[in-house]
Amino acid sequence: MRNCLRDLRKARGLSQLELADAIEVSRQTIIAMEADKYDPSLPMAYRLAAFFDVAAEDLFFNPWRDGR
Amino acid sequence: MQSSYRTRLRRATWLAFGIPLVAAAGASVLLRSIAPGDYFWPVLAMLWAVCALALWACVPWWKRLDDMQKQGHMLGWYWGGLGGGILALMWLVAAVGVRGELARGGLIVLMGQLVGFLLFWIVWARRRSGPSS
Repeated sequence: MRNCLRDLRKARGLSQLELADAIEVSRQTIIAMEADKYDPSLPMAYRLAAFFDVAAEDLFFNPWRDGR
Repeated sequence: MQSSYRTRLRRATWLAFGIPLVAAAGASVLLRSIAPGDYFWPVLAMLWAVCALALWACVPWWKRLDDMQKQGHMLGWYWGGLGGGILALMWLVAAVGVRGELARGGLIVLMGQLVGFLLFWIVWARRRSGPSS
């Protein structure tokens, strides 16, 4: 699932490891999500959205909604 | 100060590997002093207790894994573990025949896996059931 996780993370000046520790997931998981190779569960998506203070759909683009 | 996620996961991982290893080593020392078949029920109870301890030691590790890590382990164990077990069983059957004791032992292990799988799957399905409309 396409997302802007990398952009948001970089805007905060965080490394993948720092974000992983903050969200309590592995660095490998952050890398996979940023590379669109892993679709997070709903709780994980919401947790990330809350961390960056954005709506979940602004972070993970809904491919069924607006064709992004 | 609270330790980082990495530190807590590493600690849980060490426990998940360390406790079963130590328990298995202790059990194997005890088993070597007993002739096979002697004290069947006490030995079986001891071995099941060791297995229960090993599984219990893995619970904190499992709870700390994130969704993707869990998915990797489940995929690996389901397809890889089951596939590898079946291939090894076929190798045993080809080598010692279907009536060989080793092949029978392998079959018993697979049966145990099947029963365990069914139990866990039924509990999983029941916990996720809700009202239909």
